[in-house]
Amino acid sequence: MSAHPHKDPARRDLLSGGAALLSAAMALTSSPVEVQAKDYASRSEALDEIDRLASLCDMRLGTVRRSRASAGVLVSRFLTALAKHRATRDDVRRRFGLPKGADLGSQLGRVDDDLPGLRQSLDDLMIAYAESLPVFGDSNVVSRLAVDMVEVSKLKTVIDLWVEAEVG
Amino acid sequence: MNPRREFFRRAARNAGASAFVFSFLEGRGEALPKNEETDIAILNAALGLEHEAIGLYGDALLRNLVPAGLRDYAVEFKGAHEGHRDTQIEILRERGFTAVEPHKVDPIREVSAGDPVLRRLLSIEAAAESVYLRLIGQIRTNDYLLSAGFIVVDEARHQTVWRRALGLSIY
Repeated sequence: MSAHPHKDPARRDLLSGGAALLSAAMALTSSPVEVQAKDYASRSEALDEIDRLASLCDMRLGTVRRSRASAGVLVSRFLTALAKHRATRDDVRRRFGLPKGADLGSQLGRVDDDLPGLRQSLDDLMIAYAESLPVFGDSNVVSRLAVDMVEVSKLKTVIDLWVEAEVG
Repeated sequence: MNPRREFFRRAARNAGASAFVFSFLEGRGEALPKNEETDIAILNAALGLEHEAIGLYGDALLRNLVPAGLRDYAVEFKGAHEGHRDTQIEILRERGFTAVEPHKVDPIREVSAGDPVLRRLLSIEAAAESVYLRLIGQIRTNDYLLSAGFIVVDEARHQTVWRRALGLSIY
């Protein structure tokens, strides 16, 4: 991996499609195996990016709750989960002596209440977690963040199923 | 015995998982040393799981044991597990190691589609998620750690879909 962050949409799409696609791509490229993703230069940079994407998910969930009364309970559970993840990241920052993350709530502008948009935001968050794991270099931290990443995957799948149900 | 533990015990045994990885998974071992040997042991243990999952999905699909409305998911998830397998085989090959061969998977006992089959598929996914989450912090190299991250989120997706199909709480 390079020392500097990059964001190549094609490569990120490849990874976001899951390991099956990753494997297929690797089969097409010459060896040695090269896993390409966004690289984070530091733990702080990774945590800042995850915080930003999680705040966007918070905002989207808020707009969904306002526009769909029936989603209130589900959205509350999602927001509770994301708040718990935020606490985990704050703890990780303390562990590494990093400054507290910024409160991004008022810096992200307006968001729509559409479910596909929420789904995309959760996907972006999940990918950021996965891409950040190598930068931490600490077994305990990797394990804790992976647990939260898996929970984000479940949240995203719930929204997937919700979208499918609405389309159906 | 806990079904997940029994599932992994069988898969790990069939895959020839290293004793120290097996002990760690059962909570009996210390943190694994971060070295090449650990990565290879984890890769082979994970491959055993993927072979088991592929075998069970293959059996379920071949014998039409997945309810018709859910068949597409089973096809997708089998493909994902094949991707996980191929990814990890490729990582092993890149490091100069030969992957464990697929083991013989016990066929599903049920003879018709229904919830018991879905519960069997759910148990594989739950076991896989549990094992990957237990091992991911022990992975030494960045390429495998990154791949494992993308694999475990797939397992979480599969598990969520089967839980919903079974009417279990998904969130």
